[in-house]
Amino acid sequence: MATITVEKSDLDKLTEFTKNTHWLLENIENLREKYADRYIAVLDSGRTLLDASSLEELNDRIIRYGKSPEICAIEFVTREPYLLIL
Amino acid sequence: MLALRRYLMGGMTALVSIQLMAVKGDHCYVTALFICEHLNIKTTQKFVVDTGTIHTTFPETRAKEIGVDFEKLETYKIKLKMGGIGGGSDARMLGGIRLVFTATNGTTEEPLQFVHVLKNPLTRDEEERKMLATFPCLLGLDIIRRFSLRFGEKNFAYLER
Repeated sequence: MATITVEKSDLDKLTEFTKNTHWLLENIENLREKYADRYIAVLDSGRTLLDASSLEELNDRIIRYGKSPEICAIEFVTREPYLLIL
Repeated sequence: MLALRRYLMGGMTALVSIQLMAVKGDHCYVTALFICEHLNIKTTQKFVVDTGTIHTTFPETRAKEIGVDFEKLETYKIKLKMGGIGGGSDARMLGGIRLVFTATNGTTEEPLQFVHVLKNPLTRDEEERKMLATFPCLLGLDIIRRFSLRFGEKNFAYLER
């Protein structure tokens, strides 16, 4: 029996996370030059962008900004596009 | 009921439709709530929709981030080896999973008996190590085959049934 329930707040988080992820996927190439070798977090559907040199530092910045890392689209920006062979 | 469903699908009306992000030149991605009952985990995740993967798979880094210790998964007593054209790695199984997707008219919940957790491969340099830290999870055929995959308008595809 399922004990963990899905609340409206969880779905709101998922919606926000999805919007941020979508924005990042559409805009990653435009960010590559400015944020090369940096971790970035996209918030507010792309209206806010935080960056840091480590994932720990980025998570701290997100929390200080008053948001949860769970709703952010987080990525390490490589200098060149990285092709995934799956 | 099946006839009705086929009729509706023929009329281009899927009963359940999950929107995927399919930006040209990139993989297809989908987001979901990942729930693991026995470890009390409920969190958002991004997945690459990967028809080349049989089972939905978490990289060790992602698993660690949500509180799953790869080494403790050994208590399942099921060790696996996984490989691709880039090499191979050890894997473990994490059981009792639910994925909740946003879909037409609300959400759809997909239970999974288990997902694979893939041990981090050896990296060649610092850039690879950092990239691996944000590497997405893989949505495998165990979920994909429950749906039909359709590519739609610009930057979107759909899992439908």
